[in-house]
Amino acid sequence: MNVPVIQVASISKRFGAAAVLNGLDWQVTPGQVIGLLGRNGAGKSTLLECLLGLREVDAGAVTIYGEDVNALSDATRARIGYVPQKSDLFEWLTPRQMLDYVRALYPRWNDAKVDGLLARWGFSQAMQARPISKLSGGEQQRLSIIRALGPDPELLILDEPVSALDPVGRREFLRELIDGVVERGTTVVFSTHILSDLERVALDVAFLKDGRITLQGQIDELLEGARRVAGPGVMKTPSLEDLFIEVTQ
Amino acid sequence: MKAALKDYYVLWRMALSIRHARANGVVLAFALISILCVGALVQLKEQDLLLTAGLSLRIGLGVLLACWMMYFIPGAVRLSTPFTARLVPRMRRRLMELTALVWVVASASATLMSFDTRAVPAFVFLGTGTWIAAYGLGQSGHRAAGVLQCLLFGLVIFYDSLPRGLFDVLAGGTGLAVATLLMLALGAFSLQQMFMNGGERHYAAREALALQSERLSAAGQFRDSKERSIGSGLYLHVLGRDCRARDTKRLLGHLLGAKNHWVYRAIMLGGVIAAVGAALAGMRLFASSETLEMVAAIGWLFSSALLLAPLFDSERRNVRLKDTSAEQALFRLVPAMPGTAPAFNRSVNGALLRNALLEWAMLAGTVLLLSALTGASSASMFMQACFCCLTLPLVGVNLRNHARHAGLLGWRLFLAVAVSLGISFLVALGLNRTVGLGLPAGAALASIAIALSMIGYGFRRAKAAPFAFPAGRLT
Repeated sequence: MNVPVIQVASISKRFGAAAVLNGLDWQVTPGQVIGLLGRNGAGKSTLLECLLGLREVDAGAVTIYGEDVNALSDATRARIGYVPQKSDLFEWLTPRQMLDYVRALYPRWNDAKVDGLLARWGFSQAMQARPISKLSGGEQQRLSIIRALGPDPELLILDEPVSALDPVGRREFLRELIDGVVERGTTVVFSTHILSDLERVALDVAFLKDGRITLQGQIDELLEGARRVAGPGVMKTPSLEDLFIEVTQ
Repeated sequence: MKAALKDYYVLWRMALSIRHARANGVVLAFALISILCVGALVQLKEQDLLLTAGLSLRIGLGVLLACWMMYFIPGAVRLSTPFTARLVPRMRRRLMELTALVWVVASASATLMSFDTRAVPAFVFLGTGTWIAAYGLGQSGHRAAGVLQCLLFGLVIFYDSLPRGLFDVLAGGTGLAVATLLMLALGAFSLQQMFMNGGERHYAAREALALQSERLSAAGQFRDSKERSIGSGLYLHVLGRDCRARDTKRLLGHLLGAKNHWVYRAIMLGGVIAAVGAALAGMRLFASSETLEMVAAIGWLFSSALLLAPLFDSERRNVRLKDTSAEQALFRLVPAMPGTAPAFNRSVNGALLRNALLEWAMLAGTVLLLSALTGASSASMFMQACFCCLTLPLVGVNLRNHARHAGLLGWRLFLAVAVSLGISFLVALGLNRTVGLGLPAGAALASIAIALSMIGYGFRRAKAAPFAFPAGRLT
C-alpha cells in the first residue's frame, strides 16, 4: 500500500468572513501527477500554501511524507520543490547569483540539470548576468522553475507555473516536466488554467469548489463518466473544458 | 476661484499620497521630532529657554516646509504623465500653478525665518529659490540639476573665501533684481521640464526618471552603470563569499536585498566620511578662522543629524519585510533553516538583530569620528556618544511577531522613538536628582536598558509566535 506523500485532513481556512477552504480532505500518493483546477478565487493558491505550511490552517492537519507540515525535518524539506505564483523573486540579483544563493541553502543540488535547463531555455551568458528585475515575466517564470528543479525534488508543487509562458515556453516546460520529472517518479501537484497542457501531462485532476475537492480522478475516466452521464444522444465526447465548466459552475 | 482651489486641494493630496499614503502624518511627526531633538540639544548646550523655543520652532517650521515640498514636488512630477498632460483638462496648468505657489511660499518662509539671524535674507531668498528650482529640475530627470545643487553647496561652504564685492552687489538693488529675474527664469524652465506637454520628449523624460528612481531601489540597483560601481562589487564579493561558506546566518542577512545589508551601510558611511573629510580639508585651506571656529563649535550638531539614519533604516527594513514575502516563503522551505517555529524565529531575529547592531555601531562610530574631525571638545564628544545611545532601542524594533506584524511603520515608529526618548529623559531626570548623574549620561543608560529589554522581549515573544516567514500573513 502506498503511503500518501501529502495527507490533508479536514482543513479549513478563512480570510475574515470568507471561508476559502472548508473541511477539505485530500491525499496525494507517490508518483501521482495531479492538476488542481478551480475558478479564479476558488482557493487553489491558498490550498497549495497550506499544504506547504506557508499559511496556518484554522482547523485540520496536513502531513507531508508522514510529518506534520509545521515541523518538517531538514531531510523532508530537501525533497520539496516549490514554484510560487509570483516569480519575480530575488530581483536584485542576477539569475546566476540567485541560483548560487539558493544552491548554498540545499544539501543536494543538480548543477548539470540546472546548467542544461539554463542552456535549453535560452538563458545566454548575457542574460544570466542581467538583474532578474530586467527579465520578462516568462523568463522569470522559467527561472523560478529551474530554481525549484535544482535540488532534484521528489515532490514538486507548482502554482500556475505556465501562466506567463508563451506557447513555445509552455511546450518546453511540459517536455521537461514529462521527461525529467514525471518519468523519474516525482510526485507533482500543479494548479493551472490551461487545460490543454493539463491533458498532456497530468493523469489525474482534482476540482476545487466551495472550499473542498469536489471531484477527483483520472482524466480519461472522468471524461468517460461525463459522456455516460450526458447520454447516448450526445454525439461529441465532452472535453476537459466542458467538464471544468460543468463541475465548477 | 473656488474651482481652482478645489483643483489645487485635490492635486496636493494626490501628489503627497502618490509618495506615501500617510505623507502628512510622516511630515508632522518628523517636524515634531526635529523640534524635540533640536530643543533638547540646544537646551542642554545653552540652558536658555527662550532661545531654545525660538530656535526649535524655527527649525520645526523649516523641516515642515522642506518635507512637504520634498514630498510634493516628486509627487507632482509623477502625476504629470504624457496622458494626463494632453488629455486631462486643466491638470498640467493647475500643477504648474500649484508648484509655483509652493516654490514662492517656501522661499518666502525661508527668507522670513532668516531675519534676526546672521544669515543675509537676500541670499537666503536667492539660495532657497534656486535650490527648489534645481530640486524640481532634478525630479524631472534633467542632469543640470545636480551641477546646480553642487554649485550652491560650494557657495555656502566657501562663502567667506569668495570676493565680497560679488555678494555686496547681490545683497540689494539692481544686483538683487537681476539675480531674482535669473532665478525666476530658472524656475520657469524647471516648471517646463517638470510638466511637459506630452510627446516624445515627455516619454523620454519619464523613462529617464523611471531609471533614476529604479537605481535607488532594491530592484534597480544593479542596472547599467550601477552594476560596475564599487558598492555593488563589494556587496557581490561578500555575497559570493557567504554562498561559498554556506553559512545560513549570513545568507539570511541577504534576504532583504543588497541595500539592507550592512555592506551598503559601510560603503555609504565611508563616502560620508570621505566627503566631510575633503570638505574640512578644503575649509582648513580656504575658509576664515571665524568659520573654522564655528565648525568646531557646532559641527557636532550636524553630525548628530546622522543619528536619524537608524530611524529610516528601521522603516526601510520593515518595508522590505513586507515586500519580500515570496522570497521568505522559499526561505521557510529550505532545509538549511530550522524546521520548528521557535528555532526558525530565533534565527530570523538573530539575523535582523546582528544587521541592525552592526549598522548602529558603524553609524555611532562615524558620528564620533566626524565630531572628532570637526575639532569637537571632549565634552561634546561625550554628549555625542550619549546621543548615539538614545537611538539604540531602534535595533530592537524589528524583533516582532513577524507573522502578525510585518513591521512598525510610519507614525507608529516615530511614536515608539518619541516614547523611548521620553522614558529615557524621565529616568535621566530621576537619576540626576537622586545620584547627580548628568542628563545625557542618564538618558543614555536608560536607552541601553530599554534596548536590552526590547531585545529580550522580542526574542521571548518570537519563541511562542508562529513561523516568522512569510511576514505579515496573519494580519
